[in-house]
Amino acid sequence: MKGIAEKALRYGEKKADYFEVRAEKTAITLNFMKNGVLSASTERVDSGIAMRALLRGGMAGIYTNSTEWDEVKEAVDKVIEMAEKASEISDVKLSEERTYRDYWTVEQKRKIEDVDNSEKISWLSEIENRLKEETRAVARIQVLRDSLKEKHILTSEGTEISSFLPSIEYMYFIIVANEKGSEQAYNQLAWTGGYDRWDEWDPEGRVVDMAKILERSINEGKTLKSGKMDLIVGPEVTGIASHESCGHPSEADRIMGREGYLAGESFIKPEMIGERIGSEIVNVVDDPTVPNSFGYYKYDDEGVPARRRYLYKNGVINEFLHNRETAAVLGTKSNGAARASGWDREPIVRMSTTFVEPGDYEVEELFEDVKYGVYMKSFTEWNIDDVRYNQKYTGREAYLIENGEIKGPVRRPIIELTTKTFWSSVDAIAKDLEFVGATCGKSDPEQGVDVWTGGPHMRLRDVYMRW
Amino acid sequence: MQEKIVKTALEKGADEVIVKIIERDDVQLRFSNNMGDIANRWVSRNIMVFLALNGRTTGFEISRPENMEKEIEKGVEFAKKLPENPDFMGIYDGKLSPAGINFEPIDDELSEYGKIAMDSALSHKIKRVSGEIYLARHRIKIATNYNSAEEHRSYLITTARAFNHEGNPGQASTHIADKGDLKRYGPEFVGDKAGKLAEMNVNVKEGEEGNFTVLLDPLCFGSTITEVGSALSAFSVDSGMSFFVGKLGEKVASDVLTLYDDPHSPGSGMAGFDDEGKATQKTITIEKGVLKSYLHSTSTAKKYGVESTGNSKIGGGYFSPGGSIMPGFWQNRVEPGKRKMEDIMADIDRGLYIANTWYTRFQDRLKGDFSTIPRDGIFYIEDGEIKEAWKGIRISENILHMLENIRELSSELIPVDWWGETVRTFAPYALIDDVRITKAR
Repeated sequence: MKGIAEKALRYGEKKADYFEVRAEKTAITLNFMKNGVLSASTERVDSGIAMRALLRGGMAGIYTNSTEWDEVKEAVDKVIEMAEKASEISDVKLSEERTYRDYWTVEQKRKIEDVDNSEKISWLSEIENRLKEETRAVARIQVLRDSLKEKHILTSEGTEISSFLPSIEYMYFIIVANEKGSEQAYNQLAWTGGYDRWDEWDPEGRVVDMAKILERSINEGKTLKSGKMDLIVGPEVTGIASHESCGHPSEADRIMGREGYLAGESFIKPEMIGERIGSEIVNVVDDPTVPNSFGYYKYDDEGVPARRRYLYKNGVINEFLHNRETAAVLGTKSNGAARASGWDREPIVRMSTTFVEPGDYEVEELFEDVKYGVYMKSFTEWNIDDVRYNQKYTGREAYLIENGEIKGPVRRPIIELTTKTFWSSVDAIAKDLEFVGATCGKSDPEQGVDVWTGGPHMRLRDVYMRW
Repeated sequence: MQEKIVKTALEKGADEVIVKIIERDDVQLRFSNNMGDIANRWVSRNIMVFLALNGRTTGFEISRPENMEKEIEKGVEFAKKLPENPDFMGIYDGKLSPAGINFEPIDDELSEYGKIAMDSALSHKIKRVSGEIYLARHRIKIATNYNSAEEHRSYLITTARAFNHEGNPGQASTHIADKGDLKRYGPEFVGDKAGKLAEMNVNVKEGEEGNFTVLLDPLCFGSTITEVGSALSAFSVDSGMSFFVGKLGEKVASDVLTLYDDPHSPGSGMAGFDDEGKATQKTITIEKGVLKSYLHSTSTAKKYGVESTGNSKIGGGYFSPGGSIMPGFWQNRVEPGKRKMEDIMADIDRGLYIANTWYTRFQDRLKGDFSTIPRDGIFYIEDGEIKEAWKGIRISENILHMLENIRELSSELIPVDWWGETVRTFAPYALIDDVRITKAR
């Protein structure tokens, strides 16, 4: 695969101001179990090459899964022709960056390649059996997917990065229902690395516990009177808020309007760097280098090294996420946020692991001086407007807090508030740190990329909760 | 090629086989800030194989045709080790007479279409426009151990989002497959509508909470109908994840709603045959508010004791992963009403006109509780006239409650399709009473 990519680069680099080839080959195994029936079990290889050409300000991309040189050569000619045509209506530039030659991977102790599919199916069956025997889960969907991705990025400037990335993703969706009502839960447990981490993540324990929590919520969950009160959020809620109301609005392509007709733009404008958006203790970062994170990478898909980005620092808008295109527009350098979800997509500005940095408090300390409030440990329904300012999170596992103590469950508490209200209400951040997997959607054609979201428990003062 | 793969798979031990080949030559132009961003092209061929063997099923792709025999052997061996799939009850074994869906294809003049969409939007009082022109050109070949067929499916999606001088947007997005529809619903229509909405979307005020009569634009109502279409899949129902579970034959919407799955009209979801090699059909799913039919594959139809509706798809994604056949809608088509949108709006005493929505999420799929965020123009109406533009609201509702409260549908029927939010739908304007609006505090 690398051979044909090199050949394409040699042929294309002479014809464009910038030429880039990204070749990917991913071996995927997927098992899908629905209410105990293995609806799908598949092993497949997905491979192809993406080529981008920049010529006199015109940017074009071509994507092919052909391995025949004649066809790849024809694709190179086409993309050059397209870039030339695009130059009539475009003025795209790329930031100047250093070039690198490197290879990177993520180690596996128990290799994906060594785990037989029948063992994977048996794990799902065990979870299914426990759900059926011990819980009232009426709908039970489980997906276990692993992948081994080989990738080569070559540019006309001299960058040459190869990588091999193993990753595992377990997703469940359950609905628990009885005569009193129904509740649902969806979660992704995911990481880069091998199956040695399966037991550590304990999917079986988590899913079965969740089904029991949902049933308790149906049976005992109270509805409180809507009004302002204190709120403690768990890592899952901290994570989704970090992703939705900090990560997305900090993507420079949104800020500059390139994503406008799809996922939208941003309430953040280029001149807002330095403006306060939250309390002083809030530090929200995006970091592709968190070990074994689901969105882990050492170099992005333009060959720029990955690093931690402080998006909100001490409560102030601090840094945007950039690829080379947006960095050039704002006269800065890329900070390594270019990602493509596969060989058939262009690299655009994306998040990786977005989270709140831990604070100084023990988790228990957060609860101590809450007289009356809610502990929203996790969420179900959520959404946010297309400039990432008006958002909603509905609690899945939530409890009443009275005089510093966690009491019984409360059902479907809702916060519907602005980004500034959310982050400004944070008055204490705990020392703990947890992550969950997610698939972040953006662009057209849709690009779902692997990410983690997370953080510690946080306390928010005096926010409006509704039921 | 496809027949050869079927033959080889049967020789290797498979009982039933489907081979689906998609040859793709798609082109796209993306633009923003009145300039082009990137021109994209996809040239690919995917060979998907589904096979059943002793009640076991699997699916895979042939990555290198020259290794076809080995890859099939591997797939067969993989299937042998699987547990049986009791939900699989065979593929379509009748005779295939594909419905003809031949329309005059749309030419690849993307730069020209892009200019038309941008100019059309910019003819209004707006500052800038972003959007895309996407021309899909797919050759679909199907072969099973019973049938084979092939057809060309080509369509154009045009999306434009205009922003006025206050930064407030308006958006439109259509799908067409017949060259004859270019003038009516192509780039000029889309740019014009996006520009018009953005021009109206000025002096925007914070919206108010409450229960309102709402007039949903086809793009916005199309989003509701997309959720309805997905919930009509017998797979969703069988999984226990649909708000239509156990409601067959019951009243699920007001009398004015009649909904079809319509694969034969020119659009982004047209198809003459499904992925099992069965001819597609127009299926009435909701008739005058009564739930008439789910959408079926051969297997789900057998499970429910009915005939397949020709909706089988070898899918991708979490809830329809590759390697399985699941039913899904082709194109939603709502039966339009008798009056024009203007006449319907004139009858609204106090209500909202909502142009678009996004980020629809359910907190209870079984009951249908959800919320979604209106965008691209929320207009407050009093005494039949638009009085002001709003922002910052959310529809927090139950989808069955909304369907029951549809008062009227317009006579206009627009082909709408936008980024997974509104998918392959022909929708009118919809007047719906008692819709709960909430907002951030």
